[in-house]
Amino acid sequence: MAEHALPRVGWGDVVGMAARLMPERGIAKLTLGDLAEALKTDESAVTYWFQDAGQVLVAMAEIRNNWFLDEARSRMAKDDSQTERLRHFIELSAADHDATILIELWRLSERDEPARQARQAQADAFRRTIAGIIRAGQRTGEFGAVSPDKVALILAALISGFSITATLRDPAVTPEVMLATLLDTAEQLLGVEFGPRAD
Amino acid sequence: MNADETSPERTALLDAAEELIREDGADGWALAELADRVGVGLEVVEAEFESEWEAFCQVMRRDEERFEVVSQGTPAETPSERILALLEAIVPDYDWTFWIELWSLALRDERASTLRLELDERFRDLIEEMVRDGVEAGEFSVADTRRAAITISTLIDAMALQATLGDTTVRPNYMLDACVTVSGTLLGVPLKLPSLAETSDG
Repeated sequence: MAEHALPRVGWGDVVGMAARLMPERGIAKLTLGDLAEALKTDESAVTYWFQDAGQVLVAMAEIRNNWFLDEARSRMAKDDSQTERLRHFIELSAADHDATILIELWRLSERDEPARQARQAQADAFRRTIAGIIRAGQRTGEFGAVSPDKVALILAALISGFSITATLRDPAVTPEVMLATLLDTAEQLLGVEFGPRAD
Repeated sequence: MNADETSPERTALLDAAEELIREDGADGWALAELADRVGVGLEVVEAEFESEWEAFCQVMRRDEERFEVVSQGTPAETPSERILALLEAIVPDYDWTFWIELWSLALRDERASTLRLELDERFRDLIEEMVRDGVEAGEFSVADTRRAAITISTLIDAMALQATLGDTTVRPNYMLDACVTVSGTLLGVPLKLPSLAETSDG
């Protein structure tokens, strides 16, 4: 007679459970055994997909980064100008500022080469998107003659930096302050005006 | 706690705690390991630190004090020179490992969140004082000095974070150039660093 079989879990089940558990426990204290227990399955069902919790975190970070860039492209596709596209990119960054997964990825990246490479690839993709908008805006004459890569690096860094403090509920850096400061800084660096701010 | 904050024993303990934090994370080691590493009894370590968290706090504060000493150690007469000296200090001293640890802890630990805010506010105060001096001296044109200070400190944090993680674009000189560019833009003054020999678009 066959033993009672534990449920098989898919890649997405593991990542989904990690997304629920990681914010409360942190990557340092999350194990594949914890994930298996929460999924009511055997640890081997989890290790079939991932060798350690760090790999799960990298997968979560990639999903989140890809979602953000896809959402940004989707919103920007409706825009007529590069100024509007950049504004919408910045607005989405402020609205979707939760950096919990990113902070954990940075922490893991200090000691884990795959995590370091994943972080670099995600940062590059983020900067490339901003630089692409700036280059296009320069071609249309909307933005001033600045280095697109340099301004993209600056804006991406500021988005990361403000996301940290907003995620940690810094009273001086609310999402509204983050948005206003990012828009003001982009205006000053690119010599452009985004127009009236929403209240 | 040892009354002499600069005693060789205390320094050795903090140095060893730094190593453990780098290797295993802020909350991935125990005081007993620290005692083993320094070659003293656990009671000696416990006389200095009540807990691993207390040791991490002391490491964090010492690191911040070192950074402030370095950033304020360069002779600088004008507010512009003081801002530039601060930014220049980041380049050789940009290791943000302990900050990354603190941010991660602060996601779930109120003590870490409080320490993070305290240290961030201290750094912002330091920058804001320079910005205010510059406004009063007529060098800077800034409407909101606090906001300018927060923006500059945020950029420093984010750039140093990426350099610490070995980002292939954020090389030290590039990080400095970006920080100088943003600071000059925010302060309404062309800031220039004679020491900035080479920058590129990476």
